Amino acid sequence: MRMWKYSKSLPLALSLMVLSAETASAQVSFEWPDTAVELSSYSDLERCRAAVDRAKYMEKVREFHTTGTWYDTIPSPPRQEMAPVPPSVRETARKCLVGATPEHVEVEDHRLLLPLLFEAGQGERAIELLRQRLAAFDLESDSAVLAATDTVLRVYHAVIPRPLELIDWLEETYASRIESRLERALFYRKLMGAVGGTFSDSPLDSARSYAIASRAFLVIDSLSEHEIKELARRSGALFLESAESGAEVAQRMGAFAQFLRVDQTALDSLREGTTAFIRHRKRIISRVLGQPPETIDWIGPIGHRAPEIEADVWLGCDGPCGPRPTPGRISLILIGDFTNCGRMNCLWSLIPLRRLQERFPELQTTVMARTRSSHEVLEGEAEAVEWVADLTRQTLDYYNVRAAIAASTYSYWRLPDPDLRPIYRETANEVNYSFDGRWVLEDGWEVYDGLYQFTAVLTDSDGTIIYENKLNAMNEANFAKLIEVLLEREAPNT
Amino acid sequence: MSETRILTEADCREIFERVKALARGGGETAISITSWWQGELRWARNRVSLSSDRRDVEISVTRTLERGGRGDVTTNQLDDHSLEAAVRAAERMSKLYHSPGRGFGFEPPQQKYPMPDSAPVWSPATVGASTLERGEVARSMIAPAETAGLYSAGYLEVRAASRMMLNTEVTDPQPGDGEYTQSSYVRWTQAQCSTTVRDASGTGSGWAGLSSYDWDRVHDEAGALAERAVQKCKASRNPVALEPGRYTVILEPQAVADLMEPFVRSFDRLDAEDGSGPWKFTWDDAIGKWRSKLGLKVVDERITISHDPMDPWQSIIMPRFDEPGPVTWIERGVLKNLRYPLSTGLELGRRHSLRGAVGYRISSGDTSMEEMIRSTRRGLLVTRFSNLKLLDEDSLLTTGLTRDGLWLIENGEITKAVKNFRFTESPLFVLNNVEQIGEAVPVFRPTKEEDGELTPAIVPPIKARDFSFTSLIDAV
Repeated sequence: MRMWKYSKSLPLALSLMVLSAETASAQVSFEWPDTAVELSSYSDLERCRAAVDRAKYMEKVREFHTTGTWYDTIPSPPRQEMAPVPPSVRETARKCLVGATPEHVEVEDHRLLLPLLFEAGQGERAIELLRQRLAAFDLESDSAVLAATDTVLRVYHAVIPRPLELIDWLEETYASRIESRLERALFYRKLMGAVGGTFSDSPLDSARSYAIASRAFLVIDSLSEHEIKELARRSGALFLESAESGAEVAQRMGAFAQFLRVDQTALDSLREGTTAFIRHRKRIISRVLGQPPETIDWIGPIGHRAPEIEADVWLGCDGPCGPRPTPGRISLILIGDFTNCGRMNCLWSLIPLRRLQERFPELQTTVMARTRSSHEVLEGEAEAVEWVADLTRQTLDYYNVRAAIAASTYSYWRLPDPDLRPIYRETANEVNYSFDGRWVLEDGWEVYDGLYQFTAVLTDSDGTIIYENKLNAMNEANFAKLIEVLLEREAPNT
Repeated sequence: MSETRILTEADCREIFERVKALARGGGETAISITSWWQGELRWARNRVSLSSDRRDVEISVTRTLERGGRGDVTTNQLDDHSLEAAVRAAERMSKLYHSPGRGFGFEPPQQKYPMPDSAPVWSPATVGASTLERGEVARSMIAPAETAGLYSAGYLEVRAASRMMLNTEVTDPQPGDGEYTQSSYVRWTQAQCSTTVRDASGTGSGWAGLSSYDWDRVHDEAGALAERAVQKCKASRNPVALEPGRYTVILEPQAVADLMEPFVRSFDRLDAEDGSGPWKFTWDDAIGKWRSKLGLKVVDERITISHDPMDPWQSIIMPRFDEPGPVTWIERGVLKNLRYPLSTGLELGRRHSLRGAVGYRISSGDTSMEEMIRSTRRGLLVTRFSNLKLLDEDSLLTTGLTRDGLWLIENGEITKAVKNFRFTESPLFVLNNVEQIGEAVPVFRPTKEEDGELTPAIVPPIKARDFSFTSLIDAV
């Protein structure tokens, strides 16, 4: 842990020891938030960072106690990245930096210091430090300039609200210094990523976003075919590889963004009918890939009829359980193993699902469960599938989610002794929902980004799959918009 | 005094009763208590430089309030005020989280395996060893060196530890409830002693050591250990330099144990099935998984490696969910078992974990050390190795140094002391190049953690061909 230079003197160190001792004894009656700690006595940036993060966390806890809703179970508010610093957080950062002389902080510690300065409301000081630091480097080559850009953006992304002035400064200072067109295109791509880009639903700053995008596309438009391929490779967007011009790159990027979000044109096509919706989705994909629409034969399970769900045990059906999805009902199928929800919290999927159910009581919901990851522990016990169904029901009850549970037994055979590992056979649902091996239902059970988020499949009243995605707060709006249109279509007066 | 060195079962239960009485707001209460005591004595240049007694306790208090999460707080203070502060803090932590409630999680009740009553892990002599007694042993170990005009340094240690986990009764138990928070009282002891003897000119060095759960064994062996270190020191003076290269080696039991460290630690089933480590075999396209070497011959067929909690020399602490009986890792050269966690055990239908060769025994052969030397035309006798570093996890290629006595054998006789070598070799290769095996004996292999579990090793001397020494080193 690196110490502040000003704290290295012996008298101050001794006084800090005394303060630390007082703090330790005060923590016997420790109460959140920790108001007993004298933050200005903190002698290193790591502790300051931790204190500010604690203050941020306590803001979330406070919000939870006030609203009863944990922050990441609701859709992100628009322009969340521009939310002001809460007063308690700003005050914590300010107190922690009292007496600090940032000019004496070692360069390696700027990654901690600069965000703290922004959070303490001392952004100008932070920018000046960045200027001084980067001025000390020889930025002759393009790669050096891009490295400097990354350094600045790392600070930018560590701060909320985002210090947009850093983006202006980066462009003014560095754009003209980059000689290679490809590198300049990548430079602009970084800036577009930072401000939200023109294709985002909610760019952080529309004017900046469009200004940067227009300059970015001018550069992209000048790229050769070889450079476009390199741009695609280095930016990880392989669907751009076959683009023949910069204009086509821009078009494909726009189409891709359109495919990811369910926009008004998609909803309008769905209003027209499921066939029109599928045709619309294929047309967008054809634009992303640069292929004629008639050659697009697979856009995931969308457009396919959802196979009837099979189960060894049904629970929680409101009336007869089968067939599901029930003809004439708009149906949401959730694929997941909920028996681990005690340890790996499933709220990231189930709270959005509850909100969807509250908003659309007509929605039919079915949870597709299976005994894998549980069955093996009960080898030979016939009640395994009943247990799975019952534990899934308990989990859903806890979150006030109403759903029919279709639990299947995951059969297996064992490798011969001494290996003895079970080799699982796919359940009927997995076979049926693989659509001849083109879709891997296994993904539905996977942990996503360390959180349990389950795949959901939405069907229209004819059982045709309209949409599939992880059900979480981020995608909840897409599900909601589509369900709303489907219900509109079913309403008797339309 | 020995009664108060660690917490007894009654002490643990009394603490739990106090913690339970301090709980507020319903819910469940669990505690995990470990306690340890350690007495040690260190000497150098024939004079005692350190003598100490230390002890500590660690109490982890867990409170789970209704609809709350698990709040854990750890303290080492047993007074009511401190325990209350810990309980309150755990309750505050519990309120910060929320959980779907008990019963979630899907492990059915597991078989718990209590320690066998007669497992050799507890010695009243160890926990009762006084400072005076330790000092007398040190004196008896220093004396032979001092008499011979040599310098003795050494370390001896006795320790005891206990562990217990308790929780409030879970009403209306659901699958998974309570199974992980209760375990019966277990206690164990450990003693160790090692000494290095050097000559005043710094050209000779000898070493000997032993560890056991039972201080009496170490105590009884102390004189012999000191004498062996003195003899090795004298015999290793004025070593000559040999060319590095491949030599036939006779590895004394301690050298075998040192070399086996990376080997016995590598027994990991999940690694093998993930396609890493020495026990992976081949990718099986048909099942889309890595196959391990389980069931395949991996070392010389005279080698069997096993553990048995009832072995009087083994003294292993068995975890609650671990297979309690004997386990054979390698049987007549064939890989029989690899360690796995409880979750894998359940998947295999075995309902227990397999912790690995924490303690182990390598089967004996019938060749004496004398016979090994007599039958060697040209080779090296190795006392022990040090500074081992694993270079390659797949082949277990390891590098390290010889230490405290290395001798050249020519035409069936030890002819001269040799300067130390750096070796670069794999224990896997050595166990496939075995020529002769002697009688297995307990060696020095103490655990390093204060409340750590016992890690005994019983290994034989081994004669192996083509052992690779890669460079000379100047260290004595």
